[in-house]
Amino acid sequence: MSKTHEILIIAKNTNGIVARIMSLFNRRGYFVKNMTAGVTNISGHARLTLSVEGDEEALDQIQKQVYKIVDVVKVKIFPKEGTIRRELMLIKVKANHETRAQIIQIADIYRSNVLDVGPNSIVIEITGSVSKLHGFVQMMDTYGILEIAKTGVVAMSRGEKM
Amino acid sequence: MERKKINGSRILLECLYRLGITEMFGYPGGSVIPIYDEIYKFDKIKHYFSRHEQGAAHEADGYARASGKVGCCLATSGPGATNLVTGIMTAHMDSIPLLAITGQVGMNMLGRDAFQESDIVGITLPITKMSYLVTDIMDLPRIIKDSYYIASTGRPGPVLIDIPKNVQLAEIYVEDFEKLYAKEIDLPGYDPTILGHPKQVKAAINLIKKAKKPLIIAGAGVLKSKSSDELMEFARKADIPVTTTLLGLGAFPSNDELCLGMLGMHGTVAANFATNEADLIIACGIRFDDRITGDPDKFCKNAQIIHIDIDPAEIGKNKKVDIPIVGDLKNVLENFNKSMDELEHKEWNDQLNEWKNEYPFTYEEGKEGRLMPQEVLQKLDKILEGKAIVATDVGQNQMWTAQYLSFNRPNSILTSGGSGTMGFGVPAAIGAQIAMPNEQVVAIVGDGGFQMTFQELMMVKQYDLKLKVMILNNSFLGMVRQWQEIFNDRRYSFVDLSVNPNFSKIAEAYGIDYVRIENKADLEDKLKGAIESDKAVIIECIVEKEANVLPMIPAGKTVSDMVGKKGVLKDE
Repeated sequence: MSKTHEILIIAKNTNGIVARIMSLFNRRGYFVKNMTAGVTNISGHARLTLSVEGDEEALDQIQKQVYKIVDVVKVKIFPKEGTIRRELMLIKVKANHETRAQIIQIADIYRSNVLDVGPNSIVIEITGSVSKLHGFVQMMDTYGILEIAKTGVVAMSRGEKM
Repeated sequence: MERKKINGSRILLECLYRLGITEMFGYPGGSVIPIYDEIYKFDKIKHYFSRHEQGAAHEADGYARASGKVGCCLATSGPGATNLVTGIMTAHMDSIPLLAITGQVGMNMLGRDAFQESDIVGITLPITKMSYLVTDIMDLPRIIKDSYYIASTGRPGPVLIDIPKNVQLAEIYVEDFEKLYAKEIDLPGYDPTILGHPKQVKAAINLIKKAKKPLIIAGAGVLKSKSSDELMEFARKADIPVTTTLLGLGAFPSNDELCLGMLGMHGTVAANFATNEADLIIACGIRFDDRITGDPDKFCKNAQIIHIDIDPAEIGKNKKVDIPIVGDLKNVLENFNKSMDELEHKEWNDQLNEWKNEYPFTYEEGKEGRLMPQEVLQKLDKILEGKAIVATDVGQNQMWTAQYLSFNRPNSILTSGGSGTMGFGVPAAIGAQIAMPNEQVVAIVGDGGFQMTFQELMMVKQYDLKLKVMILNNSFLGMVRQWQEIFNDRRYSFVDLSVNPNFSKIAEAYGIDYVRIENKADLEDKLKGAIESDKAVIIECIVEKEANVLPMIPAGKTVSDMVGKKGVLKDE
């Protein structure tokens, strides 16, 4: 059965490194659901987290193929347990004087921040696991969602080791 | 005293030369004029003038395959660069160390769809081991060093370096260049595993000692790791028969009694039967290509598999294996040999010999005295005595060459295996002849593939190469015709080449001797005369039009689906 897995890639931040990695996923037929990329504590390096669908054999291949990219220095598939996964979302919801207070109350329950309030809308920032964000989107759906922007999942192992 | 300066173009040549490149193939154009200006002045690298960039890439590839060195080709931006693409892909599929250098429009024009601009790094991303766009002359020495190192180590492959014109012209002080060049290579993400894991090696040895019907499958990895001698020692000591892949031909001598010949779609009956019967497969530097395995789930169905490869991504890619060993084959085989007892597999080898004797490659006699392509190659084999370097094109000519010629030493067959590139044969043979001027080099091509790259023959004349080009002319795209015969009820769709150019006039136009052989009576004398000539000769053999490459395991099928075991299609 194919499940979603998060893959950590640390690579030298060279010209076109993201294109090189994405091109590999595409041509080997692996579907990337989302991806985050940014600098990390090792200078000159980028840290990418990709959420990929695939069974175990496919994952093993992905890991080895990605590691073949010369500028990639580390590849790791996060285990199901012992991994912190977080995603950040900005969501713009329809709001009027009747619903605004309800929305803010729900936002509070989800420990999210209200970033902008307008006469007909409200923008909320929320961070959390994929399922938490999914739950919040469902709640907001009843009021009318105008826009969603998500960062994709970032992940980190618990404990000292990378 | 004034400090001396050096420009990017000169840095390129200087670095290449220091790394060991003494010959290169190329074609000039607007964006490489500065490099060509330096080539004009730099006499330590000999530049060979191709007639098409695809030719340059295949020549560099043939050069690398024949000599084991790194091949180098050069082209201009835009169409020059894209013409290299087929050649780069060919090298990539067969893991050939190749440096492809392209000119690019100047950085100030980049991204503006300038004249002859193309994103060659982007285009070649999936078919290179690594690629670089050099944006700063200060990076150039490092990039060239890294490229050479990456191309030639681990699992070899092509590396592309795209150099904008302004970088070719930019200048730095010579002492700065020397400092940059002296820097150690620093590639933290690139570290090929050389030593096979001792635990895995030990486990493999235990399996080998227990096996009753072991079989070695030797691939191109044996040639690339230069471990033919170790393989021979191992096979002898453990008394294990050896079959080779198409690209592994020459890794183990054809004439050795343990040799079963090539396996796979058009391999020997004995080799393919052996894969079915074996209880242990020792896969040495192979990648379980679909032309070898057919249906991968049913391939070697009774066997445990030990897979040795330097590329960890090859382990389990196409076939699940029992004992993977990642490492350099030479190292692993040396370790095998150290701890291997003298084994004997008499019963198994007797069985295989029986199959070898019962099912040699064979074919039907030509009708009305017509030449069969197989008998031409059998005769050629007698004349060459396994001493030549043979380049093939792709299709029937390639398979018959693999079947009927002997390859008793490494790097004696140059063939586009993975990518199956028609038009490879002639330029690859030219590259090989330039790499090995004292060797007899023969290109064996079909009448179809020959027409794809024969413009390169001008180099044969220009550089006075004594190359022999054999055209097996059956007036068909033979391999496709064969598939259409077998699978499409003889609906011969666009494979008929009865409208062909006059090959003797092509030979004449290119200033090359020409011999035409069309019947049995002439075959031996004319062929011998042509091969022994001290000049280049194009040998056109008019052969039976509808001969088939047999035996054949249809694509995706298994050994039990093999047809034509006795050289005739309807024999079973």
